[in-house]
Formats: sequence, C-alpha cells, structure tokens
Amino acid sequence: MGKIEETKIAMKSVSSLRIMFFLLGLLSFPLVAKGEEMSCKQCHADKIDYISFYKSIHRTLSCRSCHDGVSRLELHMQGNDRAKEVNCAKCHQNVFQKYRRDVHNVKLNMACQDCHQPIHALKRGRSLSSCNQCHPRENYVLRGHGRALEAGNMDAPSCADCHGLHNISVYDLASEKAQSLARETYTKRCISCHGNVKIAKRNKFSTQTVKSYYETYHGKVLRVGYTDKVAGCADCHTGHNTLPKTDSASAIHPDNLYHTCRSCHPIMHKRFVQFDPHPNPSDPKRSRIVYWVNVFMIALLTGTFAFFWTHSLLWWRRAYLEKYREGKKLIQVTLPGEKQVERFTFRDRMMHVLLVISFFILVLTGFPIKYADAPWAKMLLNFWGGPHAAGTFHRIAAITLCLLFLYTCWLSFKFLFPKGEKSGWVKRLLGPDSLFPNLKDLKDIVGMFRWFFHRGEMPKFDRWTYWEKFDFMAVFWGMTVIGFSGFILWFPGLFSYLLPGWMINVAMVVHSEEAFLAAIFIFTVHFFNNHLVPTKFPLERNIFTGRYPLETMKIERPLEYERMLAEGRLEEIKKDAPGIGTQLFASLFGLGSLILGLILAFMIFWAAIF
Amino acid sequence: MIQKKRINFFIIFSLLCALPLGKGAEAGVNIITPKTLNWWMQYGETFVLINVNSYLECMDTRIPRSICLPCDEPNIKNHLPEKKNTKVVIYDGAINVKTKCPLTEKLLELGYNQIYILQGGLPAWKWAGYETESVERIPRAFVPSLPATECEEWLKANKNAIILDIRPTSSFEVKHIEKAVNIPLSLLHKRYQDIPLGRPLLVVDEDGTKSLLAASYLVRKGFREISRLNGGMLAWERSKKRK
Repeated sequence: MGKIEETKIAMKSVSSLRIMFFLLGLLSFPLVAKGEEMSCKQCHADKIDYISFYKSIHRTLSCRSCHDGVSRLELHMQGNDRAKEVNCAKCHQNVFQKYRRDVHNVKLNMACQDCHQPIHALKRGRSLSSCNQCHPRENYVLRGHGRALEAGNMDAPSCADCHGLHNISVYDLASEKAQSLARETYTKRCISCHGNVKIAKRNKFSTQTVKSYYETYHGKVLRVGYTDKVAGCADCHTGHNTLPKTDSASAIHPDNLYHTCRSCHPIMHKRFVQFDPHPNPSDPKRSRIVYWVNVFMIALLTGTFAFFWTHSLLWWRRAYLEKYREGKKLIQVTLPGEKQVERFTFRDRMMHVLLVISFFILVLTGFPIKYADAPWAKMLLNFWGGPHAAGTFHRIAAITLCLLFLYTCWLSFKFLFPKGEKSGWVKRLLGPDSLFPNLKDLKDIVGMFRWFFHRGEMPKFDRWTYWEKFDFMAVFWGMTVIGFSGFILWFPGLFSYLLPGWMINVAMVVHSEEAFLAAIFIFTVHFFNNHLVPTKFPLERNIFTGRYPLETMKIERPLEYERMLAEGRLEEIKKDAPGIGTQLFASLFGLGSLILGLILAFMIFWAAIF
Repeated sequence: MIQKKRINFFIIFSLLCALPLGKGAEAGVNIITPKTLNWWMQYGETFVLINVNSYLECMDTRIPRSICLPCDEPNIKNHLPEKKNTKVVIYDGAINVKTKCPLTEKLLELGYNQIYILQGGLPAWKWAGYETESVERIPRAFVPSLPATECEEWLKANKNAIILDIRPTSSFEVKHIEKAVNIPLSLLHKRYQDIPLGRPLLVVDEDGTKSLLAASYLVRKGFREISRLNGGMLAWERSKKRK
C-alpha cells in the first residue's frame, strides 16, 4: 500500500468520525438547549413570558445565544458570574453599523431593547409603532402625513421615510450649522416625494410646488448649499403639522401666515404675506402681475438681443469684407513722437475700471444663485469662500455700482447746468458732446444699416455713436431696475412697509432677467461693438489709456475732428501718447476682462440652454 | 508729543502681547481625539479616565475603565492618582469640546499638569464606533416627548403638573420655565423622594438629551404620567422667539 493510499484511508476515517460527531451533536442539541432553558427558567420564569417568547421572532434562539458569558452555573446562581451585556450586533451587524451614528444611540444612549420592547416577545414590524410611544400620535402622527398614512395612503410617509430607521441624523440643537444641515436633509426628503411625478399624479398634487420653490431665492440659495438663512420646506410648513392651507391649524393658513413668516423675518409689515413662496411666472391665474412683468422682461430681452445681435452680425460681415477683401486700412498706428488726442479723462477711466470690477463681481456672485443647478455654480461660490461670503461681495459690489451711478447722475447734472447756468440745457442735452440720443442718432442707425447692405457710405460720427449712447442710457434703466429690485430682495421685510408683498416676486423676476440682459449684452454686444469688431479686434484700449491716434479719430469720428478743428480746440485735446505702464495695464486689464467676460457668457449660455 | 504717542503705543502693544499669557491657567489642558484615546487604551498607556457626567449617566453608559466623578463632586482628591504628572482624560456627554465643568480648574489647582479633554465627549466616542460599558443601565421607558410648541397646551390641561428642571442650578437660575422646580440630574438619585408621587411630571433639560434618562429613572422609582420637553430649554426658548 502506497503512502498516498494510506493517507486516503486515514482521511476517510477522519471524515467518517467528523460526520458521526456532527450528527451526534445535531441530535443532542435540542436536549442541551432544552436543558439549558430549563435551568434558566427555574430562576428567571418571573422575568420572561415564555409563551410570548416562543411566538416571538427569536424563538429559535437559546437564552445563551444572547446572554452569554456565564461559565459556571453555581457561581452565576450565587450572583458572582453574571452574563455579559447583550450584544445584538453579533447577529445584527448591519443594523448596528448604521445605528452607532443614530441620534438615539449617540445622544440618548438608547439600546436596541429600549425601542424593541418587550424584547422577549418581539415580532416583526413592531418597531415603527414604538416611535409613537415616545413621540405621541396626537403631536406627530395624527396630522398631515400621519393622518393620510393612517387613512391607508401608502404614499404618505411614515416616521422612517423622513427620519430614517436606524440612521436618524444627529443634530445639535445649540449649533446653527446643525440646524442648517437638518434643513438641507429634510428639504431633500420632502422634495424626493413632492418632486416625484408618479406620486404627484396618484395624490393629485402639483410638481410645480418643487419647481416653483427652486425658482425662489429660498430654493436657489438652498440648492447651492447655503442653508443657514433660507427657508426649507419645514420652516414654513412645519415638521409634523403639515396641513393644507385651508386647515386653520396649518402654519400656512392665512390667519397664521404672518406669524409663520415673522419667525424668520422679524421686521415686516402684515402685507409681507402677500409674497408668493411658490410663484409661477408663466401662470397668469396664479399671479397676473408677475406673469405680465415676466412677459415684459422676456419681450425686452428678445427685442434688445434681436436688434443688437443682428446689428453686430451685419456689422461684422461688412467690416470683415472691408478689412480683408477690400484691403482698406481702418486703424492707424501712432508714429513715434506723434501726439494723440484725449478721449477719456483719468476720472472717466477710473470710473470705468471700477465699473468693470464691480460688474464682474456681481456676475460672478449673482449668477451662481440664478443658475443654482449649473455645474459651475458651487465652484464659483467656493471661490468666494462660500455662499455667505459671495453674498457679502455681491452687496459690496452693488453698493459700489450704485455710488458710481449716483456720481454719474451728478456729473450729468453738472454737464447740463455748468456753474449754475440754467439756460441752454436743452441744447447741451441734444448737442454733440451729450450722451443723450438725438435725431442724428436715428439717421445714423438707418445709415449704418444702408452701409451694412452696401447701399451707402458709413455714417460720419461725432463724439458719441448711437451704440455708445445706448450703452450709457441703458445703465440708467438697468441700474434703476436692477438696483431697486436688488434692494427689495436685500431688505424684503423693510420694503413691505412701503410695497405689497407680491412686489418681492416682481423684484425676483426683474432682478434675475435684467441681470441676464445686462451680463449678456455687455459680454456680447458691448464687447463686439468696442473690441471684437474686425476693425478693433482684439482690443480697443482707449477706454483704459484715455488716448488714441489723431488719424483714428479722423476715421472713426470725423465730425468731432472737424468740429474741434473749426472751434480751434484740437490742440487742447492733443496729448502725449500713453506711457508704457498705462499701455501695459490697458492691455492686461482689458484683455483679461474680455476673456473673462467671454468665458462667463459661455457659462451663462450653457446653464440657460442645458 | 510724538514721543508720548510712541510710549503709549509701546504700552498698548506690550499689553496686547501679554494677553495670551493670561491663558496660562489653561496651560496644562489639551484636547484628545477619540481615536488617540483608543490608541492609548490599545497600547497600554497609563492614564486616568474620568466621566464627569452625573452619577446616573455615568453608571448607565461610559467608556470602559472610566471612573465616575461628577463635576460638582466636592471631594475629588480620594479618586485621583498620587502622581501629579499622570495623564488625566476627562469627558462628558456634550458634543461641544469645551466642557463647562469646574473639575478642570480643580485638577489644575491640585497640580495635575497633563489634563486632556476628550474631543466631542461620549457622543464622539460612540460616533467613532468604540466600545462603551454599562455598569447599572437604566432601561429606557416609553416617555412621551412633547414638542415645545405643544407644551403650553399640555400645561394648561395638566394644571397640577410639576415641571422638573434637571439642569445644573447655575443654568436654572439664568432662565427657567415659570413654576419649574430644580433638581439637577447629578442629585436626582438622592432627591427624587422630594417629588410628590401621583402628579404629572414634565422633565426639562438643556437640549432634550438627558431628560429621557431622568424620566426613565423616575419611572423605575414608581413615578407615572411623565412627559419630557422635546429639545429641552433650547427648543422652548426657540418656540418663544417664534411667537
């Protein structure tokens, strides 16, 4: 017999022995278990209802399955050898892993048996009813969702649907951060059902509720992750008392609304409650005023862009043809030592630089809120140090812009009434040095379109072209509208003393649409007219250097040149060419702004389209 | 004149520089994370672990090897090691790192120079998934937890109810619900007999995390009709603000 065969026989005999012992153990197990229970029962019969235990979910377990650690019965019976603490995690490891971070464990030190009572008579499905033992039905369940659940609506959430089962989050009541985290979590839970089309259809509620919430300041700011100071669902609808507004006990019942809003907006007039927290600007039945304001803003945007984009496109085509096909030299370079003419004073240039900076800050901090779900929104806000810091920057930039606007108003006033001179202001208003449109501008627009189609020469311009005047005058409209609406959104409670609450809804529409108009107009039309047109590409620097060559003036603004010559003022405006530092700043700042603006335009279009 | 200004500036600057020295009293107090404390335990580091919660809480749930030494314990010397350079780790049930417990000051006064506060206290330890032990666990009873907004209604309906405030006396003195009586949790096991039986009880704590234990203890002692204020005084004050 070979060694291998010997080993095989030995292995077979070992296997047979193993099987024999296993069968013996299996047969004797009930006897052992029974005997063990008998001995436990002798002393612990008064503690456990064995009839209930044998019907319970743990009926197949022996006492020692849970209460292990007793090594000697005699000692145990004397009270010296106590069983170890019950460790449910031995079998329920997955639940335990979740539960270790549950508020009932972390803060209340509750063990499994505290909810799963009585632990020795445990049946499947009893745990949820345990919630009501500490969180009374009349306070938590018999209202809103709970009432619907009890009525048999299986779509209505139970405790666990909103709070989780063994993973109920820990929120420190004393911490503001924890409150905002709770707001974010629970609002998401609400939205998971109220934004679900199938559930909405089955229960006959509108999914517009979520969509419209996301369109409000509350919703947008919450979406980008700034949950500290905006209202989530439960802030208005309350956590458990979620009743329809027709119910007098509801927090959103008209009689209770003032009280509800005031909990976050302590300074507010009663008319503040006219604000619609779920507006739908495209639904005239819900709010006619907001609807028409929205229609007007869309018309304004469409009209403005339709005209100026067509204008830009035609201009680009014509200028391109002239520059590259006809070989016409439009830009004259300054020869060494040649004098230039001053177009913008130092003050004008500094105002423009400030304007550029504050405008970019406003766009970079405001648009992440407007397009809260855009992939770049959160990234941009993080760049500013979070939404709170971004909000602060937005407001600082807004105030800077307002001050610039007020200063421009003051300069305009001084232009019309120099040294208190009251007469002749109409002449100055409509004169060639004024930025106010006049009849010649209308003729110039017609002339430009004729030129676009090769039906005439390019009109001759004076100091200000019609598109420059439009840029200037648009600021008066834009600043009034966007500034005023911005202040309403900044201080909604205070403005409710002056205006009805629905004006906040109007302000939201106007501020948002006007911001889009301003940003896209600047980054497309203004950039094209002044920098990207083939005759000026890639950058017209005179807004930053303040000066440009005389020859360029003769081509671009011949009427101004002739006027200056006739009035003998040409020598007055002749200056030395800008220094290298100024030119470098103009190029870097100008090109930087141009590139940033174009990137932002791309990002805004991306967010608006997709 | 300029010289005078310079002298003033120098004095102010020196005072500002000296300000941090005022914190010398806390020189021996360090923060320890649950992870580090667990390492210490695993690798046999010598230290004394003190649970500064009330006696009831400490016996209910604590970190293994802890000794129970409540904050208001007058005689602490007998419980402490003789060597002053022994590491002493203290922890409570709060999430906040800084404990208001005067025990830290007492330890410093006694000359202990290696005092550690467990970051996040017992909740952080449990959150991290480390083991706890129960010497004398109080089985939690089903005690209704009243939302702060419903509390006034409840009090109107239960006019003979006793509002039992279990916060430390110092917190109770700052603000409390009208007609509330104060028995701090640390003294509850000694003074529960002062509470009349047979009257509804509303147990109030700081933030709703201790009232369940107190209420469960009272249930074991034969009290019935117990409720607790959900969210404690924090929620109560918040609900008052909302009104």
